Amino acid sequence: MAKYVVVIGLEIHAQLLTNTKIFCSCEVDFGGEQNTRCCPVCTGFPGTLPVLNQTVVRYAIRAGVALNCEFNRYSKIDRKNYFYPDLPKAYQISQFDLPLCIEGKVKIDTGEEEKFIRVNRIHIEEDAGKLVHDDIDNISLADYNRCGVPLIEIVSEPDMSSSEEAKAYIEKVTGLLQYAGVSLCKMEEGSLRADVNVSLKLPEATKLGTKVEIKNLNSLKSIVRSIEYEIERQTKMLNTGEEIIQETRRFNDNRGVTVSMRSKEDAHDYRYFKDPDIIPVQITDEDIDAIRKELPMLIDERFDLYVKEYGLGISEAKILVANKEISDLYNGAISSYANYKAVANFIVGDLLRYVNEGELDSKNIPFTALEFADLIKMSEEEVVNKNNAKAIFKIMLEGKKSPLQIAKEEGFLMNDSVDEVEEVVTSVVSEFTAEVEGYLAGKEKLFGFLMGQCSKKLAGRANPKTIKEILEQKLAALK
Amino acid sequence: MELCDKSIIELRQMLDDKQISSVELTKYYLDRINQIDPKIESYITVCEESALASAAKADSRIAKGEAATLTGIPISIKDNMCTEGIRTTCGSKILGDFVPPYNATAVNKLLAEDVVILGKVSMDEFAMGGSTQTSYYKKTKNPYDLTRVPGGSSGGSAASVAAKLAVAALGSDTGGSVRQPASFCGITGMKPTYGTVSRYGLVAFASSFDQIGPLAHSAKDCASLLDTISGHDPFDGTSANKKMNFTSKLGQNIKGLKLALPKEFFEEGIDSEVRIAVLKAVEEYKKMGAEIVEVSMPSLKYAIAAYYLIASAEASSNLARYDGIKFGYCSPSAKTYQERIQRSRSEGFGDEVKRRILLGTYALSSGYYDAYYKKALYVQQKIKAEYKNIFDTCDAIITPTAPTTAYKIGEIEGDSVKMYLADICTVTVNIAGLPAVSTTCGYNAIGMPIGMSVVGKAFDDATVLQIADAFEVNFKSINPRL
Amino acid sequence: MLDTDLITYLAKLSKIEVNAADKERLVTEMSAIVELMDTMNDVTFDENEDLKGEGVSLLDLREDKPRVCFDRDKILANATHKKDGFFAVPKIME
Repeated sequence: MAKYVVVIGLEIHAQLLTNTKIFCSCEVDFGGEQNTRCCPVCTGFPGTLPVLNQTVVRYAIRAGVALNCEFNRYSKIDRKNYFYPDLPKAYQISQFDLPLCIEGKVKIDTGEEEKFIRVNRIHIEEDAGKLVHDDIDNISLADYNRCGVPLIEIVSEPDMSSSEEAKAYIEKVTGLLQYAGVSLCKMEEGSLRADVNVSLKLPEATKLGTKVEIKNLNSLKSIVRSIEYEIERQTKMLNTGEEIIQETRRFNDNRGVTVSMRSKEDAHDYRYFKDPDIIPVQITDEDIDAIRKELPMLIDERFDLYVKEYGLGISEAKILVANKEISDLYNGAISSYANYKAVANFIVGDLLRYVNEGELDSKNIPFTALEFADLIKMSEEEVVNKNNAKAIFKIMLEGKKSPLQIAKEEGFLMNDSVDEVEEVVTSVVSEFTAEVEGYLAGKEKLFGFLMGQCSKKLAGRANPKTIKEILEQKLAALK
Repeated sequence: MELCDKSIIELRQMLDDKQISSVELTKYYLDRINQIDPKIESYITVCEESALASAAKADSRIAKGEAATLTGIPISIKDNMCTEGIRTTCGSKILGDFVPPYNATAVNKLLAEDVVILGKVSMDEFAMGGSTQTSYYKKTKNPYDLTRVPGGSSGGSAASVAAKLAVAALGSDTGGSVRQPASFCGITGMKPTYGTVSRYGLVAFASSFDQIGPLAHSAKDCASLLDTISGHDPFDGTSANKKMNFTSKLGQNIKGLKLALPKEFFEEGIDSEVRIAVLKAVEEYKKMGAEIVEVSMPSLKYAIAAYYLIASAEASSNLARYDGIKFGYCSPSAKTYQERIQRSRSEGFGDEVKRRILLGTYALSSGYYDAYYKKALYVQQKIKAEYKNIFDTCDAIITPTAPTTAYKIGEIEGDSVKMYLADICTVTVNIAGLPAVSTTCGYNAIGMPIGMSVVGKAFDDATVLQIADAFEVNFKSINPRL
Repeated sequence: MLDTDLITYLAKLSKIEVNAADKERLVTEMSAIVELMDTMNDVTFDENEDLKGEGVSLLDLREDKPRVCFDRDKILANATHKKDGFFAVPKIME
């Protein structure tokens, strides 16, 4: 059986987080009754004209910076002409041969070596509306709320060679776009869509194999599964000498297979030409520099900082940078309490558990980084013990009190005061005379019992080390 | 002199002096429309009720002493400009019932001055034509000779003004559609510099060329209209960020101005009557002290091809939205989605519109794009460069507006190629985005008007109007006999 | 020049239904028109000819400020077929 080289390319569409649509001032928002977020421009009424949104261009440039792209200083907006009921003008305004960003690269981590996936281009375009099917009246219903929502399309080179790499690429691009603050990138909500191109070739072949496009992928899992299925399907075909047809296939989530889409009746001649209603954009070096400065430190840079400067472990650092809000929290906390390891441990060990279980929304953290730092400081400096620190954290999720407040109210503050400990130890020793005698007679284990009784009475207010010291002292004195 | 012979300035005086009210003036025009328009067929929709309501509003504004230049003046609007609540057909079956939910910006600017809109006037379907005979609704006649075309595509605008069924009109010019009907109907028509009047609300034909322009009895009146309707519009991304003043040079001496005559515009292909009349007008300019310079525009021979390829390409895309789904004619026999859109378009569009859509689709389709559309863009650059060259040394260009006077209805409209070639004197102006005005410079042996065009530098519209006005003040125009 | 196949293709691309008689007529008419377009045949230009025009600067683009949307009734008012606030078309097969 010949072993084929897998070649994968990805086209990602991300909805931009602007206030208004790309070509009109209708508000971009999610939800809403059909056709209530429209105007004559985005519904293609006669006589209407598109007016380009400045923030859309800025956000696209931000994405370009985040993905290490070059930029076309003169960038043209074009029309892509075709008929479909979700496209009111019967053309989509997009970019053809002079997109805003070109020649980028994204570093992905597949566990082995570091690999770079090249980005061919990023361009801006308008989203189409939504079609719903009504089986009662046997009609299709068009909702134009989504028409004109701004998108960036990120096209990769066919540099990926496995479903793992494809997954890593999407996760990295998604992370970068979130860091850049330009898109929410939620596949389940529709703010991120991905189409995959898969082809196989023999290792020694110079030409790429026939490309098959897969659409209708609604989750990362579908993307991985569809790639796996498609590799299998194409491998089987090539092994039996069957020709692979260049086509678009849809992934059927239920059955886990890709299915040929009935070819659209239109020939795909989009007749691209420069949109005469929109003047091309002229970007300057100053524009790009200014936008570059707006961006926060991005994923790779933070990762390097955490590992090389802060000495965190690689997997720890990966977890911290995976989510910008978490990484920001970390950065904020260590700026006040520079115990890099301890803060990282708490996040990775405790905080993220709550996030994963849905009890903490990383976008709505109910305490400040400073408060978080205080908690960890208290724990490390043994102002409270480690278990109680976890308990304090849980209460902090309610967002009402500071860790110190909570510690006081719950009585978690460990006293340095030896007096209370002495008192309690004295009372325990006099109460549990049988166990004391037993210990003094040589039953070492009873020390633990006596420790337990002291701890109980002190209800976590004392440092266990202090209790042990004083108990030992008292018992020794009785020998 | 009758009321309908008065200029805008004269009417402004009369209205402000309370010699007449806007309601009376409007009623006067509505009566004329009732009496005369059945012969001319310029109006598709007459807005009697709303016109009188606007007139009343204008009168109270005038009474407060707050009148603007055009307050209370009755005008007609070409039916490709959106008027909120008023049917807007573009002369096409496919928009027969379309009532826009918004006004074109130019219309809003008129309404802000409380202009009276008498109604929507006829046009070639989607502005594609030079005769107004492709209108699905009213095949307008030339007031000078009812057996002849009024020109197009703004034939309704031109005829309504020439027959004095409106004081002035708004039209649109993509390849000559304001200037040529103005010349056929013996009035003045101006296409301003591209970008000076917002295209928002003007139903698009060829977006790089379309401009709204006024038709009236004089360059002065056209200038007044332009001052009102022009200006930067945030709803039009191609709208120029320049403050224009169209009336600023009216009445100034044209002595010493250099007027260029490109020889290619005066060769065979131009009727001798037309050539003689224009050259005679040029003599008048000489007497006024202007200097005449002969120049050349060698790319003129490619202009028709370049114009029609670019215009049709853009039109094929601009008209794709007419599918019977969101607005407009929907074919009743259609059962599937494909049938609905294909039949609505087939049944809703006229033949010339279909031909241009096919031509545009052809020019843009893969395999033909370079040879046709891209090449046309290159020719456009050449034409722009040739104009720039001429304007480096000259202030304006004089040409005939059309190769002929108004021809008989039915004579050439059926032949697309002949129709296209007749645009030879006007299209280069749209290709280059320059300002141009057509004014009447004579009449032929049978009394049909002959038009002369003055073309200027970009944004130098005031000079163009100044030059046209300088000729008009000494020219005796003849009214049509109705 | 142009033949029926090309007319059929162009009509399909532009979604205009044409019957056999239309096609016949259009072949003649469109051929004449395209012949007129071919007057540009002797025009040559450099592949790298700069057809770029002016560009607009980033700062001159529209500010990202929302405006009140139109009433749904106004958006749907001109549609022949609608249902429950949607535009309605015959069922799309996928």
